Amino acid sequence: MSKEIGPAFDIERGIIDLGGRRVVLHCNHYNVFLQRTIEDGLKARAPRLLAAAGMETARNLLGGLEVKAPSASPRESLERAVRIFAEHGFGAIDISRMNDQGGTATIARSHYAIGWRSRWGIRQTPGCYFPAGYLAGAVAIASNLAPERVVATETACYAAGAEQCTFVVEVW
Amino acid sequence: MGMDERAVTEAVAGLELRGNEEGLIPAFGLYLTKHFADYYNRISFGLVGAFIRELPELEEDAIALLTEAGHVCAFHTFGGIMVSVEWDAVVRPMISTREDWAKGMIGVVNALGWGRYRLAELVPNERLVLEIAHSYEAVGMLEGYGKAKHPRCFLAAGGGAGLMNLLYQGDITKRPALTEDYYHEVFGHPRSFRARETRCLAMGDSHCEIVVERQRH
Ligand SMILES: [Zn+2]
Repeated sequence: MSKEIGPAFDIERGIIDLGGRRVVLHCNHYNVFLQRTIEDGLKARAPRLLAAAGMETARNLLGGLEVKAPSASPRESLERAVRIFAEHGFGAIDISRMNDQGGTATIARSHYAIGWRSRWGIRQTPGCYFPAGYLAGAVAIASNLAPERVVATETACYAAGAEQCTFVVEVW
Repeated sequence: MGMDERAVTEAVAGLELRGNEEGLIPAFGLYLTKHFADYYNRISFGLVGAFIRELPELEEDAIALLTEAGHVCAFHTFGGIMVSVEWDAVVRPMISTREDWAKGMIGVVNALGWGRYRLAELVPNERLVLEIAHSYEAVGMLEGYGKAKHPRCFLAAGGGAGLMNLLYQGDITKRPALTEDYYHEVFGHPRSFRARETRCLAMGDSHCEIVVERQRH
């Protein structure tokens, strides 16, 4: 197993660093309000921005960690991505039906979905763009794939009335 | 005993918040995330960028929307923290004045990874000036988009206004329920506080400066 790198807090600068990227704490209200602001402002183009931002965020973060503390296998890399996701408060991703070429992942209690539904009720479309993008980025890093070859789609979402959130990750 | 901001920062940092078995972080009556600055910056500057390209006359509207998200953040995050048991345990014992509430909250903010906030000026019920080093919004702007013509710390500005509104427009010290109605009552008041960012690292200034005053009509 690779050496674990955790967030490091620099009190003099007010910076929390994880593998060279900034970690910032925010709550459910801000997260879903900001997402809604983007969706209202960009309409049909919002999902692409939100998911692409999630993917690039994950690629930068996890790619940096792979350089500093390389995983022994794609699976281990994916598992680290899932561990970080849960430790950082976004929910627990079940990747038992995924391999390094994609598959299906679920989140029983997704932060974004719970936050959305508790604030605004059920929405029409799945709303976990950050988790979807993050998953795609995690697979791209784990399997060393160009980002355009990985697409993660949320096919059912707690925020849209489903019991849990389901993501299909496809590798082209 | 006086407010020891650094002790507050250390105490909050020492909580070592991390996801539970469900991968969630319930704290201060909220669900927290240890999110990533890259994500917030990409989506916020993505929205502003799209407006500037396509509807330049609406740039200010995009910024107002993002600042409003900052107001919501302050109301729920700062508000939630200031009525929490954690606040009672760590910060409340050091509070003797209403201004200590602001200082205590700055101590908390300095543990959130947003940069280093300094309360440069606080005139009770009137004016707040925050100086921020390493603001994650400004740093993200410079890193990903280059030097900006205008200030870019929307969350910080909204947060500063929110702090003053919680203390001097509403009254967070009375532990109000943080409902939508209360939000509109406090932030929708015509004389409620609003912020201007007067210096920004993203514009080439040495640090960011947020000035919060009441709206004048
Ligand atoms: Zn979902």
